[in-house]
Amino acid sequence: MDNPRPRPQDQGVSDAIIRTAGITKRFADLTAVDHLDLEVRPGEVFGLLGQNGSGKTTLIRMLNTLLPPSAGRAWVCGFDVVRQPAAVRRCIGVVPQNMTSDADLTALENMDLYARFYDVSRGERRRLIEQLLRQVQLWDFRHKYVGAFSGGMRRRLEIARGLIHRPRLLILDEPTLGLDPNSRRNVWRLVRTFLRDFDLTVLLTTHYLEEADNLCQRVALIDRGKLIALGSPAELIAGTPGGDRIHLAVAPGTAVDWSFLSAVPGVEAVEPAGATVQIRVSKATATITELLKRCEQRGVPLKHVQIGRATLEDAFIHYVGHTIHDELSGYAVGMLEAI
Amino acid sequence: MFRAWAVAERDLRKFFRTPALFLPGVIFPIVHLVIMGYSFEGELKRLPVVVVNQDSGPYAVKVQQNLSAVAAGNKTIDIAAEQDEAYARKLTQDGRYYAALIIPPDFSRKMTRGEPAELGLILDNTDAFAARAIEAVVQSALLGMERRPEVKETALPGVRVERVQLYRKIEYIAYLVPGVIVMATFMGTMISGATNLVMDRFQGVHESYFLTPLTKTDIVLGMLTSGMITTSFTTIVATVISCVITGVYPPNLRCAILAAGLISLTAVGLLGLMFLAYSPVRNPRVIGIVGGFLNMILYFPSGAVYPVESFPAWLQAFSVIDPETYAVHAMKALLLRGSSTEAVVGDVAVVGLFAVCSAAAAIAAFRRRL
Repeated sequence: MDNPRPRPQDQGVSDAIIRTAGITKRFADLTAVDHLDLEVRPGEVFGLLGQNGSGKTTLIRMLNTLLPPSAGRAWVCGFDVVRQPAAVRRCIGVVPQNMTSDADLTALENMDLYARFYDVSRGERRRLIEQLLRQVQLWDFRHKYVGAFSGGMRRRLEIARGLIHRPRLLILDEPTLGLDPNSRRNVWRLVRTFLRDFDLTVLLTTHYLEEADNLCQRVALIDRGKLIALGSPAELIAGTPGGDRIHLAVAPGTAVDWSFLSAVPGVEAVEPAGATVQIRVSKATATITELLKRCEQRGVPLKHVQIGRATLEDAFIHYVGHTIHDELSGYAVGMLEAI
Repeated sequence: MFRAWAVAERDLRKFFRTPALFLPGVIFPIVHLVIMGYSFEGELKRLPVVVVNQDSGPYAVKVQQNLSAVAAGNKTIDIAAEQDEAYARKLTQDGRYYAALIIPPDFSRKMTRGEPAELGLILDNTDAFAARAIEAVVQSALLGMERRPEVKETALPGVRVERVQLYRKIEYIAYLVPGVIVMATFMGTMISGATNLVMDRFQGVHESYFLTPLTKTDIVLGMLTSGMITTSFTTIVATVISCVITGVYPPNLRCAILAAGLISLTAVGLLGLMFLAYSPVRNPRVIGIVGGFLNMILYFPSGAVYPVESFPAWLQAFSVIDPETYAVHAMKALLLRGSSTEAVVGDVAVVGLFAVCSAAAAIAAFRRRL
């Protein structure tokens, strides 16, 4: 039986809602999570950003007690994930990557079932289920079988289900995977609403940079099971050299040697790609005039000019060394097979 | 228990909303009953028969010698001896023997005087195959006496076997009913237990359970409870259909209630066994393969289609550890013979022990981690 009043085990001086100390997970020869140290503060939305197979889900599964760590320790809500798993489970709500709501039950039955797993009293169940289903805009569909729901509706239901016992921490594992853009924005809106209405911390894994940029106060970039960088999206972008981007394009099929642009003061990198080129500069407004002048002198027939700022994707490439959408590396494939 | 019941309730809702799940559990055993019942014939071996010899005369001794000689030859019967006729009759009623042959005190005297002499043969005719075979053996033992010159003319024309039918005539198809009930129980546990376990694991339902405060005892007890209820339901439906087809009904309410209880107990035991057998299975395609194998090794050695005593020694030894043997034996006693509660206590105790042990083992073996 679960201990009804477990006491948090010492996690040092930190009051973090999640703290890991050298947490590691190995599957045979493969190290899926490699000595990771993290702290997630109460009330924030914290994102784990990485390729498929980078170790995000394995880390989540150790934090939610599904997998035992091979080494290191972790505390969730102050409870040790290995020694106090029952207390950890009562403190967290989890929305797994795969849809696990029951297609043969109605939305109401799905909610009621999980509330009973958490021993929520009958009266409290009724009140909370109505509140949550209204918030995810499924109250009118409460008697419909979940099998008839769209992917977005099921995901909203699962987020509501994850909150049925009023957890302190909501863990969302790729919550918008496979959803259309509209459903994705709906999920983001819900997360913000619940963050406001509940005393909640959110841990989110995603490989959508836009999602992390939109939702997260802080982001950890994970690659090959290791923590590569940590900070707010703005901090990570600011740390990327050549914070501004200038894109130039000529007509398709026109051959241009763009290397002459490297000599322009303020240019940090020239990245040609066919008929277009991306030029990384420290400050676009100070450099654009000179760039256009040099192109004119060289007789480059420009068709298109665009100025932009560095994005989280640029930051990811800078810190990790490849894009988040690259084909799965051999490591990632091995990881997925191991899991 | 509150959380375990929530798990059970979820399975029950799903089950009763999907008729395709419980129809095979009813239809398959009924098809088996009809096909086997109308097509199967066979040779019987080592049927236990008790002889009560109340006569010390030479003809009584001769009957016993001839019977022993026939038994040693084709091994159709195994002979035991009892002194008390009432006790022998009770043992036959309780299913320990298929027949009791009574040699009355005046048998040799009547034979010597050339008067009509009678032997009493009490047959458990709920097993029509066995009853016919035993009667043929007894008649063949008396034919052996006919070839003795000193008694031939006087004795045999007057010797008559008086058949005492303990029960109304039972056809082979009706004899199969107890076994078919146990088979329906097995099918029910496969559909509700094995399929639920593997499919829930495959579809990630267990992963979502593991994220909640549910303990492994909650999860397994919940699944055992729902499996027991759904299996009992499908088996009772299959039983009613079998009774209508064969015309064999429980002799009284006590037997019907005991049979229903036995079905539930057997269901728990088989569910526990399913959970153990399927604990390493991750692929739903394996469900049918493992289930078919388990059904074969549990059903046929159980005495459901053929008396256990007629099996070779190795198969008899296996039937001793086959829990379905005891379920079938008790079900025969209740449905076909209307035996006393006392007569089935031993079988029910074995099935109960099996249920407790397999349920405990299923909980212990369940892994509450990915």
